[in-house]
Amino acid sequence: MAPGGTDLRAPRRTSPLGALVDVVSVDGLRNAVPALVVAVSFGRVALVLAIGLVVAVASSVIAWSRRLWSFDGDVLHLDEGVFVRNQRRIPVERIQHVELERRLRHQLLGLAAVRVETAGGSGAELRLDAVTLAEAEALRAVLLRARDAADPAVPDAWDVERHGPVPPPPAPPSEVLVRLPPSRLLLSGITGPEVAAVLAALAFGIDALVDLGIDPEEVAVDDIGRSSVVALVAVAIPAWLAVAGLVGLVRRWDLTASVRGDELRVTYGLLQRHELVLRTDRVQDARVSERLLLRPFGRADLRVRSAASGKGDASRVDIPLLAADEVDRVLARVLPAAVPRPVLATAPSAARRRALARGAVAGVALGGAVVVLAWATAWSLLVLVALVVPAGVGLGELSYRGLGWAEARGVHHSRVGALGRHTAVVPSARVQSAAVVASWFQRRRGLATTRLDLAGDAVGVVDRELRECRAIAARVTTA
Amino acid sequence: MTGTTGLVPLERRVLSLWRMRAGLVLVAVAALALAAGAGSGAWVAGLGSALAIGLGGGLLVRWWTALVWRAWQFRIGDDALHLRHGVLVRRESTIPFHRVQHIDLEAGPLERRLGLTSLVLRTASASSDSTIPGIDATEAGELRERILRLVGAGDAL
Repeated sequence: MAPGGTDLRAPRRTSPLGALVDVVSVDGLRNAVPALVVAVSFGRVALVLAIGLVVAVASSVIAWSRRLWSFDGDVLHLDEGVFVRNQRRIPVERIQHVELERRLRHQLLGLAAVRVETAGGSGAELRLDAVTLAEAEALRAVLLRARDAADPAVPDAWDVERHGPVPPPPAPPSEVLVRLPPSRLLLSGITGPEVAAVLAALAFGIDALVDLGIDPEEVAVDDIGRSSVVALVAVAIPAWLAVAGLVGLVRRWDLTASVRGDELRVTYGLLQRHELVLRTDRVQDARVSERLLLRPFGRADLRVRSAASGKGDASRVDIPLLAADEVDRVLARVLPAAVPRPVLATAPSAARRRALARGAVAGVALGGAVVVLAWATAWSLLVLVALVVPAGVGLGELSYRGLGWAEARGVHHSRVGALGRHTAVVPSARVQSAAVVASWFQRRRGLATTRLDLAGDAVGVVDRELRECRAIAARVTTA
Repeated sequence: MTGTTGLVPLERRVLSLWRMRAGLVLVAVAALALAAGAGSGAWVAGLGSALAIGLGGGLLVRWWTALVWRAWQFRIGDDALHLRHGVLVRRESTIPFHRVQHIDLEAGPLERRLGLTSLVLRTASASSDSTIPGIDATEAGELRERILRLVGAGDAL
């Protein structure tokens, strides 16, 4: 028996009052808008309104009559659905968060809405829109106690709610890991998305000039002369890059990554100051991106992702343009087992044959499309065969060279990418489930891909031998 | 890892489910073809194309669903659910029970008529491939209880 004499073991319905009140709630009224539009346009307002009301009440009541919930001490049950019936079972140890919500209609009727959330997913895994306040409070109390008994070590937001605010522990000293110098911020603007944004802004500006009756082309070619066009371009491109660089500088001004206790903190920005905080004990994975433009500079962008633990916590932070040792320094704090980063094993030679074939096919397809669409002559056909197909094959070779994988100290490092290289860093302990996926083309060559499912995203170990893929999947799914 | 021992197929009835679903779509398309033919006065052409869609599509569906069914196997191990499925793209998925967040049994009207249900294990990852589409509705409850007992305590993240 739960406190207050409310036995939650017997399957029960939500409050019937709630089912009726939902019809006149904001959502219910919103659903009625299309019916009203029809009603007004046909001039039969009363009839359509009456039918609509009957249908709304009936469907709400039927849905209510099929919704049964209970809690047996270990597992929360919810059976619902009119056409598609769903029976949901949530083990109490998995419950992360319970929330009571009392809107005006709940308060007037002595009801409450209950939301129960587990890790991952989006939104509440279980919603009871209207139960009596006594039931809601009993459910929350029982879930709390059962969960604490199952796993007493879990710290959570409810403790704060129940025992009042916990005095904050003395703040540990903050240690700066990386601080980007202005030169690198300029580079980040020139190589980052700002370049495209500034170009778009310039195009918009030229467009505006045209609207004003000034044709830039006419002005340039006729009045100034062709040599001046070259000069203009020679000025415009550096100016464009300078503006992009400046935007990067202002946006990421004083970008600093530091750790304090178990928090990774990234701050940046001149006009608008940003501060992102990530709990290092909840970090899921990291990604090291060596973008094409950055590879010659030996720089890489680092993205660290976490399962956000509460409001205001970021689910990921990006630290751009790090040198290899700086990447290691950050990784050492968020995923200690990931450093030193291992040398990645290349993919088997069958993967190279697959990549080359794919590149060649893509080249032929692209060339063929151009020939068909443009009625190309024999000469252009030759150019296509001599340029497009080799380019496809070359990209295939690059994408093969981009493949790499290694496991060290329970952390998987998986790299993909033809021009830019992206390396995912995934601890086995964070993998939720795994799948060995092999397309027909992969099976022909004895290859497969292992997909590691994480809270939030999935990471692939691409084009390894089937046997190896199975071994990886088996390792990451054993406790 | 999985090996081939202990892998079981889906209920044969799921074939009927897939074929009925596809059949409904085929009937709708064939009806559209017939209506289009009738609308433009070409009754014979409309009837012919409706029949062609119905027969050709029916044979295609029959053949393809049989392939899909033959490729589908699953095994409930001691610590994980193993799935194997896919005709063109083969998938072998492993969902460890200690990662399961909650379990759903889902059945639409057609499934209920056939006494079938889908068992879905939800993990914290949205990309987990963890649905068994056609198992016997009476066995599903038992399977779920077995898995719920195995889910047990532990850090799921």
